[in-house]
Amino acid sequence: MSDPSRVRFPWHRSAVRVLTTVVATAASLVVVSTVVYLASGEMSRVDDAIFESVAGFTTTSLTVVDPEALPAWLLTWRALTQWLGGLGALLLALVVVPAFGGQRRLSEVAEGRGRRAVLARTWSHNTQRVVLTYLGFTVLVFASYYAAGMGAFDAATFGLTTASTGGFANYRDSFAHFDSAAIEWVGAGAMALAGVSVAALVWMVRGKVQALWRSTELKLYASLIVGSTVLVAAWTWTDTGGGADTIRESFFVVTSSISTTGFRVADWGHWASAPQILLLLLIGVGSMAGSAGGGFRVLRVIEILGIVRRELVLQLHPRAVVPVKVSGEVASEASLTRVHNFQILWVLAAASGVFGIASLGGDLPTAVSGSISALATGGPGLGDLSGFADATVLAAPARGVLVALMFLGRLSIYPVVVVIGWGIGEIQRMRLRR
Amino acid sequence: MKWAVSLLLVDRPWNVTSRVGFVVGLGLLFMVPGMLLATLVEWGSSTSDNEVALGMGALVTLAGGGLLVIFTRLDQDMPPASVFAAVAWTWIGLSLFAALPLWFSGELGSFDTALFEAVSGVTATGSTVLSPIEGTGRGVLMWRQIMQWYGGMGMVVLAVTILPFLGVGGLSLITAEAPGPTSDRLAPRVSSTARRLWALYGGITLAIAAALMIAGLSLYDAVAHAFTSAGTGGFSPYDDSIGHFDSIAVEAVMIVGMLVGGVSFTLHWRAVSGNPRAYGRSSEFRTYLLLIFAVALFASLLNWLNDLSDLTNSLRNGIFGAVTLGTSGGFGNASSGNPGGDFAAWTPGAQALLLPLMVMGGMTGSTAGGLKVLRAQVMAKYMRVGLLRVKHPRVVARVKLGQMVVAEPILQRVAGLVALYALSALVATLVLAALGQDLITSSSAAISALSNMGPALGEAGPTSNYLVFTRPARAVLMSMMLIGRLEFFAIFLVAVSAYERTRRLTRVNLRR
Repeated sequence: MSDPSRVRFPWHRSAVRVLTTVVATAASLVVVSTVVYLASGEMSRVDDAIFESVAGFTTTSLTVVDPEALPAWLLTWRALTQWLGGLGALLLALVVVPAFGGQRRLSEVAEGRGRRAVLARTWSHNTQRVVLTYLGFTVLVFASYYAAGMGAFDAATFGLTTASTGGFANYRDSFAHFDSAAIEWVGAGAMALAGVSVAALVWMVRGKVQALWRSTELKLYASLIVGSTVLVAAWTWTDTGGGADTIRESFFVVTSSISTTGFRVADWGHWASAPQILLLLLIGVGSMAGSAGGGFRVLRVIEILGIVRRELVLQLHPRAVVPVKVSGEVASEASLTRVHNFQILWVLAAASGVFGIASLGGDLPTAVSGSISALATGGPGLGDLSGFADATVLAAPARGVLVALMFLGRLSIYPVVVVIGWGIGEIQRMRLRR
Repeated sequence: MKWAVSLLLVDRPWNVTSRVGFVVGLGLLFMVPGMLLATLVEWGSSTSDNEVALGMGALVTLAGGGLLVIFTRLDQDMPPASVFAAVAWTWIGLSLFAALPLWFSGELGSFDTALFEAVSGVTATGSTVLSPIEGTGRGVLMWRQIMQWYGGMGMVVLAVTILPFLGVGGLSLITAEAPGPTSDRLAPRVSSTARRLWALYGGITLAIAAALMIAGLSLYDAVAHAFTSAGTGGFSPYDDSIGHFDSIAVEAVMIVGMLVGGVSFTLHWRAVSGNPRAYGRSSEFRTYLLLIFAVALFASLLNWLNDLSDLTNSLRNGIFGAVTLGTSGGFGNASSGNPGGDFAAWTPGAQALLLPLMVMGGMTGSTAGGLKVLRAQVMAKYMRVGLLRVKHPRVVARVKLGQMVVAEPILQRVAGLVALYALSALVATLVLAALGQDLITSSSAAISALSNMGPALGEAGPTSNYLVFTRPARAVLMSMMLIGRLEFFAIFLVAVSAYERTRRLTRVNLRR
């Protein structure tokens, strides 16, 4: 496959311009959606409309409306915002960023180690593949839901919000509304797949077992799901009655968390604290890089683990050259540096979020979990945010903090920070000119 | 004195070469005077009679250390692996022997609670399982304070003072033990560096004790609190900790004492040797004070705005709380007269500000725990360079600290350590939660133990006691304290090498 850096792309010279476009597009989509919500007459407050739109486009499952009171067309629009948000995230990660030419510094996936993860030769072809895979996956999810017994409308809207790892539901009690084991199994499986990178999905369709087997990220992702399901099931065995129900519920909440979808099936606020914290950690870790999900990403976790291992070896053998490997390929030092920087930015953003929410009226568990969950574009949290709770448990100013966090998290923090920095720089320059 | 030392160090034909055993033995021997002092205090006090128990502890430690020193011999060179092993085993050995007087006295019940108290003591953490504290004999209480004093500076540093022939190995020993990424030499010779460190430490302790006496404490109280504030430990012989005195003067002295303990000893040395401006010139020092007082101010304001207490009281408690957590001291100033000192009951926003401070800890080369201000600074600058590279991919940007350029490999190491801290904290949080604690208690207790802080938030706040944790949870916390005190590498590497050794052994056996 060709080096994606040679691919032509309209703005291959200026990273700032590309990022500004990305941020501006996201912001204008939010504005459009806000107008739709306000015009519908179902929502009267501007801040609520903005919150709902941001939660939509960032594929977060936090909501401030009662979905059961909304008309069908607005529910469709709500699900569509999430679907578009997921598509946007995929295009950003798999098309825009790799097409950066020499400026692949922001890259999430399709670079260096990810050569195999690059989908196609040209960026237009690449776009086509991403869109087709995403469309295909959405249709598949729709069909499975329908087959499992959902109505056509529900299957369509839930299909849109599942494939995008969005998590908006048409009912207050989300998946518990259906009370059907088949639908829950389908939902959990679909969420697990939604957190898989598009490249791996393509391999699955084409039956490239070797490539799948070679992917460290996929293996870790799968083992996280299996291991956490076992742990959650063990921890909640007595609380939820044991047996197949417990296993299904555990699998559901685990996939809902790690894919950062955020469908709810049980009120986990009543569980012991260990499964709750594990689920919060999974939301924080998030899905595979190159999927529509959010979070810190499994790929970065692998790189961090590699770095830690290398540090330990270096202490014993100070002059050793220890590569950090991902899927059998050596990760470049530049990419490791980016992981470090991302780690700091992420922790900083999360910590500011905790402070913001806590000082604007949330208690500490709600603030910690809400901040992490919003930054990972998940949704559910602990404390007041656990179980079937929606975002209305927080006061309007604290919801403003959530809006900022969701926006930052969906765009992987970098673009927003760079654009803000660029804006400040421009303002300073204008002042100097005067 | 000198000939006695050389008598110890002389090579005997029957000696086993063991780099680790020798250093451990020396560390143990150095603990004996502290134990004897505690025995003396007990002997002098009329309320309890645990002299025999404390004396027995000293005797056993003397015997253990003496045997190790007499029957082992040191190699000239120390490969990194044995440096880490020596330091790790010294601390594990110290904890075990330091627990003996506590255990013999019977004041702490079973051996595992005594061991928890000892680990929390020698790592200068300050989480206690002694309850109630005030009924306990003075000798045992004094031994708790002395442990923290030892632990603040570090036993290996002490051992190095009399090992002039350790040479290069000595410096790497100090580096492996002393908190922080740098190990500035205060003198050309390692042994004199170590000696100066301890001299400074002793001087600071004396000064704090004198100041506390002026503030109105008795000799016993002043010495006891001087030991733990210079070592940024956090033990106090009273259930209410500093709140027992309910005196602003005492709190002020303790605040200064903890702040001094949390400052790099290199800076102190420069100041003492005639260059007091060294403080102002250190950007780490400025950041350290700025962060602590910014948090103090914001937390006070938040508490005041939420009507927790009036402005002066909010400020008093805000400053004390921020300093005690920003230096990894871990004292509490809450009492029935001043309930606002309990920071686990502050408004959520103020508590959210304390968490980053707990992670950070004090300056490098101080007695404080945590990730250290310098590392936070380096990481912040590293991030800015990273963002600059996004904008200008080919820019040549370096991370600078003062005049010094920090090389990329060092940046990576700092970042690696931060990642190690985060991973340990996450794992510990999950394990503590699995053992029955809620989110805030388990996460803050994990951070508190890793940073050698003492009190945490939630149920493990400053007015609480670590008996709220179950026995396995306390075991997890103990290991986190040791891991945090030795800055991760020593303990992890010993674990890794032990694992590899057993694997190698089994492989050989299989081949046979």
